Amino acid sequence: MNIFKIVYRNIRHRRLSSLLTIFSVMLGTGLVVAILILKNESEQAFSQTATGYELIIGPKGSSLQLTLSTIYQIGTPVQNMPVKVYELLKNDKRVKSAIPYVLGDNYKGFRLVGTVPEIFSEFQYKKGIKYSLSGGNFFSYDFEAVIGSDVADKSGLKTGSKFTGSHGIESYEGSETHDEYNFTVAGILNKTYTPADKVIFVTMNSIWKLHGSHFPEENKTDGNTSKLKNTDEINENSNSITSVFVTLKNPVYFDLLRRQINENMYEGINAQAVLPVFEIKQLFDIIGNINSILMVIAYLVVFVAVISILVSIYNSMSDRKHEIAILRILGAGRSTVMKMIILEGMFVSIAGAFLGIASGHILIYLLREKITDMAGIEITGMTFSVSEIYLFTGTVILTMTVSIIPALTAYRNDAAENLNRN
Amino acid sequence: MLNIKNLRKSFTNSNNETFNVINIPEFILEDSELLAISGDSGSGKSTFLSLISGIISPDMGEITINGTDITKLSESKKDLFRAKHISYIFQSFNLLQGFNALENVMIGMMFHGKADRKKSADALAKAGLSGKLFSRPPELSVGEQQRVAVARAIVNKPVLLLADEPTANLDPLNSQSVTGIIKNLCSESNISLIIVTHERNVISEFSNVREFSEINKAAGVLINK
Repeated sequence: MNIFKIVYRNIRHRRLSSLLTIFSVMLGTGLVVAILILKNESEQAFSQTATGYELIIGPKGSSLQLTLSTIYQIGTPVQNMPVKVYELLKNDKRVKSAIPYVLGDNYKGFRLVGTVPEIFSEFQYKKGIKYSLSGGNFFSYDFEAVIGSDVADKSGLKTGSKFTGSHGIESYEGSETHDEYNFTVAGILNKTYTPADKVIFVTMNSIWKLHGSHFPEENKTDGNTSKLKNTDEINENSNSITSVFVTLKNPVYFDLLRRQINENMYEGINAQAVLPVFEIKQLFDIIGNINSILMVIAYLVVFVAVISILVSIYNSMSDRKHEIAILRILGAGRSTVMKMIILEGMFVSIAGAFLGIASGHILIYLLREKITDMAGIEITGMTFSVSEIYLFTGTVILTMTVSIIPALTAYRNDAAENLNRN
Repeated sequence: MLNIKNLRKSFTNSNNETFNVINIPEFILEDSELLAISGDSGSGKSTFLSLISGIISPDMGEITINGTDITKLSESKKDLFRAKHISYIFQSFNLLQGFNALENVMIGMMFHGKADRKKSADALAKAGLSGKLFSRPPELSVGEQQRVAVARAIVNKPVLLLADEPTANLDPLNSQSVTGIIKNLCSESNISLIIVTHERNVISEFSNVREFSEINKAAGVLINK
């Protein structure tokens, strides 16, 4: 028997009140942790996904919309632009690699992205990391598809599977399907923890054919595929693209190229060049304000929870005067009694804060797929930040501080007067 | 063992009237002495025991226990002194409801040293409760609850045991049993005892009996208004 056991038994003796108090602390700290995880993981995911290339070139319009629709598969593309833009950039001596993107169709809600084979050989989706296969091959022909890992997991498509695309970038009931063309899965990508996991990569020609049928009949559903045509065959006048990822040979070209494009001084094309890292920073500046409001609310919940510990202990003091008087007559000093009350608050807050932090992680972990589906980025719920340590110690210290109020009541308890109460 | 000189204590009521409750010019209790004090309700007997135990402080006077004047001790030293040397038994048992019999006795040991499980179990066995170690107070009869309180009081082997109407809530059979246990355990362990009671059957168990009015000269005299 020691002071800790007495405190523990006191908490257990008032089980319901203690559990409710622990729950309120858990709720507050859980909310803060959930917000912290979402903030940290989304910032990390968004920033990492936008680091393997320097510029995105797209039609004039919202630069943020262009970034979100191209990199994160969120929302609709701004507009389309002529494939000539890609051709010009590809042949620009300052450009190391130019990867075009054509959006337009989906399979069960997974977006079909028309692109070129260089997306697998040159494009870095994160700094220094290229796409790799977990099975099969990269596409060599039109109507061959390379699918992201989540597409494979959720749609059941395997290497060799055939599927038909539906019109539009989102899936909806009654959407028009392109039954005349079948795609064949050529390969499956390793998990990248980026929106690409939910993407089906096909050739640009495939997308154009679905919509415009600019190419001969041999590509239709007879099971054959046509050999991938080189870019010279792309019909510059009729076909359009959504955007182009650009990596430069030297960062010194960055400002000039961007200015040329944005000020319509680049071969007469009407487009915009955006810096994805900058756009994401802008986005988080906006989200940051909302995030701050949420954090303030969450911290207020923690504060209210801490006050509930104070109220709970303080309300119990009148019932416990007798118990404290017994301890005093058994030799417990005033300071010992005071210590016991503060320890009680500390135990309750430790339990509440610990459970809160754990439940915050568990909550996000359980909702990770929904969040990933909604936001297009990988959220695990399993990243821990130093802020959680501050939250834990802050909650415990604050509780111990407010527990001084009932502890002083215990300290001033008149043992002689309360001993004969029963 | 216990030597009291010129002890005074007064209380002020809500009407701002001050009453002298304790006025004891001298009181001596020898080592191992078993003393029963009888007196009317409200005569200040409980206040007297509270003063000896140090949970309230006198207005003036000395209370010397084994050579230590407890009125001169700081609050924390007084708490420690009480934990080591004095035990208390109450009319209302004063057991901690959330703890079983064994734990209640162990808590009695905790504040002056190590809470010894074996010693606590032995003390409960001596009080006739070896089969009730893990019963909580609500699961015990009133007689058993008071015997737990007795075990808690003697487990530390105090030099002085103060018993304030310890049998007032008990039936005659339990009253006789508890009084017998208190007497025997105090005699066995050479513990000095002051038992305050107004029950004739308890008083009759003791050869050494004093009227409180002989000890206390105050008897609620109004000092000022």
